[in-house]
Amino acid sequence: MHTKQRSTRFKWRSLVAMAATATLLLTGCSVGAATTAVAKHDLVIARAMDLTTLDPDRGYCDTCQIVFTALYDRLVIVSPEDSKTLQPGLASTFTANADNTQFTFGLDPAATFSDASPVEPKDVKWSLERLANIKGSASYLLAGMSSIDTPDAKTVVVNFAAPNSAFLAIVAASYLGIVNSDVASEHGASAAADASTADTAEDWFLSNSAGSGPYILDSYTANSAVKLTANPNYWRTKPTFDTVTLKEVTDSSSQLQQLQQGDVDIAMQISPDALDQLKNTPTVTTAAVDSFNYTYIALMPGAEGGAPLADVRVREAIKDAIDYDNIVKTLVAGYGKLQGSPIPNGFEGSEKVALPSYDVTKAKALLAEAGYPDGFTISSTYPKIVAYGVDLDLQMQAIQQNLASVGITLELTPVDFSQWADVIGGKGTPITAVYFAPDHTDSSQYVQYFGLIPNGGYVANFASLAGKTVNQAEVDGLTTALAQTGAERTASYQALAQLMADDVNILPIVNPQLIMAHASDITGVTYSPCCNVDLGALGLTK
Amino acid sequence: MTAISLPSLAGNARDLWKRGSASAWLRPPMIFGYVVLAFWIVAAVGVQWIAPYDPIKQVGERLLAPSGTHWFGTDALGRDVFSRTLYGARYSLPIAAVAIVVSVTIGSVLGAVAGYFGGWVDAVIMRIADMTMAFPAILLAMAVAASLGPGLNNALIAIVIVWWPIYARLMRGQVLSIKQREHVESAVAIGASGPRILFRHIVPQSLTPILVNATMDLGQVILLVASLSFLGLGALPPTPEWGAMITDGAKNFYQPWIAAAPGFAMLTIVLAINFIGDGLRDALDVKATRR
Amino acid sequence: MLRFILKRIAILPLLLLGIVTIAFVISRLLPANPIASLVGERNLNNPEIVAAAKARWGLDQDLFTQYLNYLGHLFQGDLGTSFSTKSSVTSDLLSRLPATMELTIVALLIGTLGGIALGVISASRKDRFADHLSRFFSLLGSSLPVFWTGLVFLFVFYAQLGVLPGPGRLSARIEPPANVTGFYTVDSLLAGNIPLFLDAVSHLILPAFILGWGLVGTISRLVRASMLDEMHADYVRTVRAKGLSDGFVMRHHVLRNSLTPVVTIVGFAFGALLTGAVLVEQIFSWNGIGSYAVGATRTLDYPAINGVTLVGGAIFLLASLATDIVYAVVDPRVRLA
Repeated sequence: MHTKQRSTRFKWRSLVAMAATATLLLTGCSVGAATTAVAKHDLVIARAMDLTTLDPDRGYCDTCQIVFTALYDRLVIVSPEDSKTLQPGLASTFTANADNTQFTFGLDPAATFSDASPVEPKDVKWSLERLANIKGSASYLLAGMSSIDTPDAKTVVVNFAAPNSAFLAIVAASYLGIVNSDVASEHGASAAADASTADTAEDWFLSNSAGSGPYILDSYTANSAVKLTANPNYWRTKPTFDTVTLKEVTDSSSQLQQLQQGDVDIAMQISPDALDQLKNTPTVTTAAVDSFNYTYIALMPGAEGGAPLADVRVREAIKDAIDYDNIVKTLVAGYGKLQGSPIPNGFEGSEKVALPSYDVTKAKALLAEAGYPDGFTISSTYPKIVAYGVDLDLQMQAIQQNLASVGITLELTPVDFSQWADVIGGKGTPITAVYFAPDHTDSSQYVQYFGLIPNGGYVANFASLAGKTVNQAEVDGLTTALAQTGAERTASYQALAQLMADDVNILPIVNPQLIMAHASDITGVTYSPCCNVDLGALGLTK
Repeated sequence: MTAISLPSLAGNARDLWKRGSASAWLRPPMIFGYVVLAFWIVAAVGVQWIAPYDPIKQVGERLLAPSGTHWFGTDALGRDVFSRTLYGARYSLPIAAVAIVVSVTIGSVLGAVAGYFGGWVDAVIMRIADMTMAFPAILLAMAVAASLGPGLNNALIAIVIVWWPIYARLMRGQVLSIKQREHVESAVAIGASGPRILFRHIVPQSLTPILVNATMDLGQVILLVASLSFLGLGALPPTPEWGAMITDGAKNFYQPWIAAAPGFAMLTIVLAINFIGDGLRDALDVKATRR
Repeated sequence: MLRFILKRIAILPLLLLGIVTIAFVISRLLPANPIASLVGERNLNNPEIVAAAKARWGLDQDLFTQYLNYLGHLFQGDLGTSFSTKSSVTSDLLSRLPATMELTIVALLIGTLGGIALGVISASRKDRFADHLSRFFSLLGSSLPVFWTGLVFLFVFYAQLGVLPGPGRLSARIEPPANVTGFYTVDSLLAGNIPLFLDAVSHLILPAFILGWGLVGTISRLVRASMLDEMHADYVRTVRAKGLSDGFVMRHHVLRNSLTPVVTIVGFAFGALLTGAVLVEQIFSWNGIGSYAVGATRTLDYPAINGVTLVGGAIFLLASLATDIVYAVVDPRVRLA
């Protein structure tokens, strides 16, 4: 009896002990957190990531651009100072022939992969062919490529059937990184015509890289972190940091908090609302820089329920009914611009298009003219995402209120991106809201995606009551522009921008500025239209 | 009181009263529960006269902190959080109530049939119930809501699919135990028909535990509706549903008032319902079987 | 007894097959088709790319063939390849399961210990202030929306007071320990890394407490009720009459006998905690199977949806089986039907 009694007491006491330990742990951890100041060899970046693969020829996403740029050097690169200028990358020389159908690259003899083997023409040929044949999301970049020749040990010649003056800019895109073909082939990669089914290397690329970039892949945990380590054999200026880790931090408030506390060095998606809060933090530097990203709404008469939009006056009315300035103020705290056509501010061709303006009276008059004096009801399915600081859900609710004031009832259905893609691939939705970020620095991509051309983007499928719609002027304009360079080409793109604006199928809403927030001792945090942030260029102040 | 005078149960209310003394129905926590619940019902019915602003219109600067003009501040679109919170009562409470009533009806009927007839009917119904219950509730609800598309009505369907097996089990257990009792046996002896015995003699006797569980579950279902909305599978914008408002608040972490009001509203109503349910359970001396 | 247990185990594979089938049917009944997200909306107009993706992911076959293929692979332990992580669902789940388990087990501990403590207080101070307070605290736990509580606690303890860390399993600059069990707390101790252990524990506190709090109510009510029953039982009166102190009687006889029903509910509680974990993981950026499930539903990732429902269902079934067995063992009076 007695021993038993003691054992019972002991249990009670151990409970108390446990509680005490818990308290100790609580206090202990705050001490632990304070002592983690380490010399900065390891850079940590907070980002909400959209990675679904690390295969450079299969990926197609914003985070892919960052990671691929760090892992795989390209033949040419976009100048950090001026996005319209191209600089030598793996290719020390690059030229186009007179009619822009043949491009010749002379490889830099110093260029090596991370395993110290030289970058050879066969690797370039293999990489481009793999991207084209794998039939992935970025394969469209090489549409029209007819053949690749490797006449000698340092030269690559890429041939196109039709003129493609955009090609040099495309070669600088992050998706055109050059892969070490011997290493990748060993692990199941294929560049053959049947690569889309024969290639089995996607899994291998989740934990390995085979490039010539400043970093190599150390490890990747989906939805958690990508860790890169410095490439010991990098053929150019070696990167400053030993490791760079991209951490999945989904919401902008956590990113802000972690940046303020020094847990991370760079926060990539700080909301504009938080900028003021950071101004008082001396250890953090912030900048709002112009971007080439934008959100837009698409008006699609050919989608189910889109009939009222068939009249261009109705589309014009919707355009006039939106209070753009208020939306820029509300959604991105004023850190954004208006945009006139699908070709964004700063891209060739965007210069002369008028910006949209808010005019309710005109909108009402147009609606009455079109036979809808009391408006109508129309639905909108869109992905519920925050794109470059713009919460599409809020944007659509603001537009819903604007349209209500001219009698149009907008019914909103936010869905996940994959469901949205399915709707767009099926019966469509009369009005949708999405974003666009450039893949490279040439304006052709906007005409290819937003122009009413055969094999264009989804908007062309629903652009009129008849469904698939072709605007021949845009088809011809694009063909002309792709055969031109210089001022002539600029004029062609200006005309194309106006044509697309006059279709009134695409209404750009906000061209948000990009908020760069990082620890004050980090340098080189810049934004490039082809590749997002170049991790290799990041450094430390001395 | 609304909670116990649900239409399908009205006939049995008198029996219920007999079983607990009046004081057991009027304990302080229960009175608190009645008052809070009454407040929210009044708010839901009369919100257009009470709320100071239109819940879906921009009525002020965005992200204003609470003040005299906007008691609970404004959200990211400049809408009045106080008005939106009041309007929220129009969604959470009725939807959860309907979900519970439908689940109770479907579950009870299936459970009673399973328990009374036994054999393969019982086996089929209860295996389906078992399997449904084997899915973590939120996963199943998410899958169903995702397949039906977002929207409060679809969320309601998802919840019924998740919730009916609880009542089926409960009712089956009750029916099995009551079936043995004398008066049922005598009813069988005098030749009453199966369904008549089931619905005249057995089911009414089984209602008490079902009722108590339904009351307790009402709170959980309110939370589940909000959870689905929080995950983007419930209310559509600009509906001022509480779960969806908390999602908005989560996006504006440093403006805590946006999420505070709807969360607190939900807390009070669920707490009130739990107080009532807890009191009912004590008053009626029901051993709860919950999952 | 043995027959009962064997019978329950024998039916398990059938139930699992049912769950697999239901999961498969539900995911394929989704009106949306993952092909659009697999190839990107840009390529939907390109039939060649669409056909290539369908062939690669086996979506070009009819539903029944897909189902049979899935079952065939399942028997070899292969749950397929996730559309969105591109790695095998089995390895995805294995890498995330420990995170969820660590969270739920700690929550279960908090819920059970807290519930017992509050139940004891309530019963021994019946109808007094402490009883009311502890019952209020318990009810509060089951009335709170966990995703909201998570936000509030993060705001208070992380953003304002700064005493507890923010979302995630570890601080940003801290590397996870070498993987042995996948439980960071255990692995860090195995590696002898105390600061890492403390970091892992401090990250567990908020989510585990919020998750466990919901359980406190259920358990404390149970303990309170059964303790009150026991206190009026004959043997307690006898023991008291023998002159033993109230405290001793409470601890030694009443509490011990009152804990039996707690054992039986813990299995079910585990299932409920898994449900709560889905939401808590969202708020606390916890890379477990809950957030995996949410991600899978969002991206229409069929293999992942099927895998996660199968695992979730299996855990729930095993937990209730364990409960039934334990119940039968500790309380032979139970009629085993």
